[in-house]
Amino acid sequence: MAQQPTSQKERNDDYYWPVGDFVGPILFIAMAIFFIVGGLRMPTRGASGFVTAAGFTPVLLGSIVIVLNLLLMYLILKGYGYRSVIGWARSWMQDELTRRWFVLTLIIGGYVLMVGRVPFVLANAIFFAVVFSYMRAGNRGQIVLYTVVSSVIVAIIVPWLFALPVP
Amino acid sequence: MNWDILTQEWSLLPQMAWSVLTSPLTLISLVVGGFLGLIGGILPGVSAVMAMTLMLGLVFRLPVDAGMGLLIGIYSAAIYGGSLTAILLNIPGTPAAAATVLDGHPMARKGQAREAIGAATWASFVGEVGGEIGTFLLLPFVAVVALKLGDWEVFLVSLMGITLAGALGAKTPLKGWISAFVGFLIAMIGTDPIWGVFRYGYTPELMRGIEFIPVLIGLFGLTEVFWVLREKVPYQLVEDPGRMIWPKGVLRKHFDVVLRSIVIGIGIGIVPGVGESVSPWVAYDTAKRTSKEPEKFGTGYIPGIIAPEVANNATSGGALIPMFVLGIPGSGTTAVLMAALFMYGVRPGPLLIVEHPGFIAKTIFLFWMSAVVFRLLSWYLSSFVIRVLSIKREVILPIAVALGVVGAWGTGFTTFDVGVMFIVGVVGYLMRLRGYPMAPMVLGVLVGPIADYSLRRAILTYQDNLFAMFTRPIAVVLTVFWIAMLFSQFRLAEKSFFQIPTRETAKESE
Repeated sequence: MAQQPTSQKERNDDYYWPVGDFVGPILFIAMAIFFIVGGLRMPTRGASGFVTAAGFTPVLLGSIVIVLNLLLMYLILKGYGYRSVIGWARSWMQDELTRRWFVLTLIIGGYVLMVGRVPFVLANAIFFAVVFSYMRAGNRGQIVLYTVVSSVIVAIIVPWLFALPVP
Repeated sequence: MNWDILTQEWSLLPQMAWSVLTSPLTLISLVVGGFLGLIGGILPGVSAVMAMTLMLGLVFRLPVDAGMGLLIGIYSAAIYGGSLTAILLNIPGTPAAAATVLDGHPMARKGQAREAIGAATWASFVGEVGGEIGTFLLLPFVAVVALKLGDWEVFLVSLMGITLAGALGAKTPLKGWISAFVGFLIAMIGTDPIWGVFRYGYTPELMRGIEFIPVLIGLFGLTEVFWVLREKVPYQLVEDPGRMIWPKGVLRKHFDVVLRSIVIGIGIGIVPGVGESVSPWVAYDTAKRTSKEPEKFGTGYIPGIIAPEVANNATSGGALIPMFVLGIPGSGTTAVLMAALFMYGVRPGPLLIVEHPGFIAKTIFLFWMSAVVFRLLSWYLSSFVIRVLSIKREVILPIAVALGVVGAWGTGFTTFDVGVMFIVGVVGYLMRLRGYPMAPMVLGVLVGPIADYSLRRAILTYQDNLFAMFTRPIAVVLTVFWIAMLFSQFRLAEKSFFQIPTRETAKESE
């Protein structure tokens, strides 16, 4: 059994939480429409027509994804109504875990952008220094040590062990 | 019945065993894999599948035997390693060890941590060996039947796998199916294998298609890192583990629990997309229900450790059956093994037993060897390895991210794959947050191309008489089975399928 929420805020968060499921299906449906449109534009070859064309399976799958997501959206609206979407968005933005995840995504996203554009050792050193500092992995001296050791392991030792060219 | 095929793998076992034992590189890979797996399993937040996925982009530089040895070594040892933290910290190191917490940690709190670790070690060893023996005896029979499958039957089997994985992988089957079909859709990007038409080939990389390794690293690696690092959970060791103690005669005394858990492990392993996260719970529940002392479960009772540990290791065997014979991975970990096989040019499926004689026997032998390796490593190193817990997760997991980047880059030496890994990781995190399971999505990505190719090739083959496609005996059986399965899923899950989602249902799917 889940613990009973104590404060009004927790009650609101728990109530609004499932409404986030309304947003996901919108994105999945958009993706499915993109796949269906692309699939319909693909050339048809052979005597059997569209059923053996390259676009047949994506169109079929896109349709299934749309139906399943519409069902999920219907269930959310039936259970919570339109207004709860705003309440969910507000509680999601104020969530501590969400903020932490968002910052981590930005840091890792920045690292991914650096890969292939700046020397790999440098990209790793910047990434590790920033992420260790944000995660408070230790004092300043420890962070420098962790950064150097991690960068050497990832950018030099591992690629050398597996004879792998680095980006 | 084709007796030659049936007995082929059994008769090739000694030869394959000898080739493994005389290959120093393979043996070293098994030991290195075992060591890495033990560390990965011990670190909460690094699951078996994550540890394997991180190595996936690197192993293809090794020969096939050594690469498989490394991955199998990680697999077995990580599943076992997860139980050490479950017992000592009350935090399962891997999802497979979640049920071990129930009796393992209470034993540790009573000052019997070394006995609990001893029981978990031997139970894991017996589960691994027993599970693989059962699988090895069963597998050739399934393989002989699988050889009779045509394109249409292969499509039906793929469809059954995706349907079942979607329905069983999540608390709400609707989200499981969405996850599976989205994975299937992603797999459609690239070049159509039948007509050579580019599907969504807007860039040269998209013409090549989305490689499954960056997808796997994103889903199992990056998603997991986001999941763990967003909150801080401090470790607190109950006691210094020291060297394990083996409570004598326990396995003999609870032989029925061992045997039942092996059967449960293999059985659940065969079901696509479910794997070792589920089997320990079923085995624990069965052991409790059939016990003469059910009230002792949850208080630090040895069978409560034996049942989940035997089952989660036996599952690795069962999960090999659909992977080898049908090309459908039974769990996340076998999905990674299957991805590795693709990289080596070995295509799992009905023809594997014909195209690569002895390969199945060799893999089974590698699993047995890995059981011996992790047993030895655990005896000599577990008290030492447990000290890696003093390294903060805030240090280990960013290194895992960077290794994931190296692995994704190594797939095609393009930053496009690194970008795919990142995007899939972010999307995977958001999906997991909403209770969408990851395993069906991976299954969709891996099995999707096979299902698509088989379906359209079957239609091309029977284009003059499509009705004939539905009258093939095996196809009829499979179609009836699939419809019954679909019907039963709706009937059984009627409440949850059309149920309005709640926060609890999503949490239970995590």
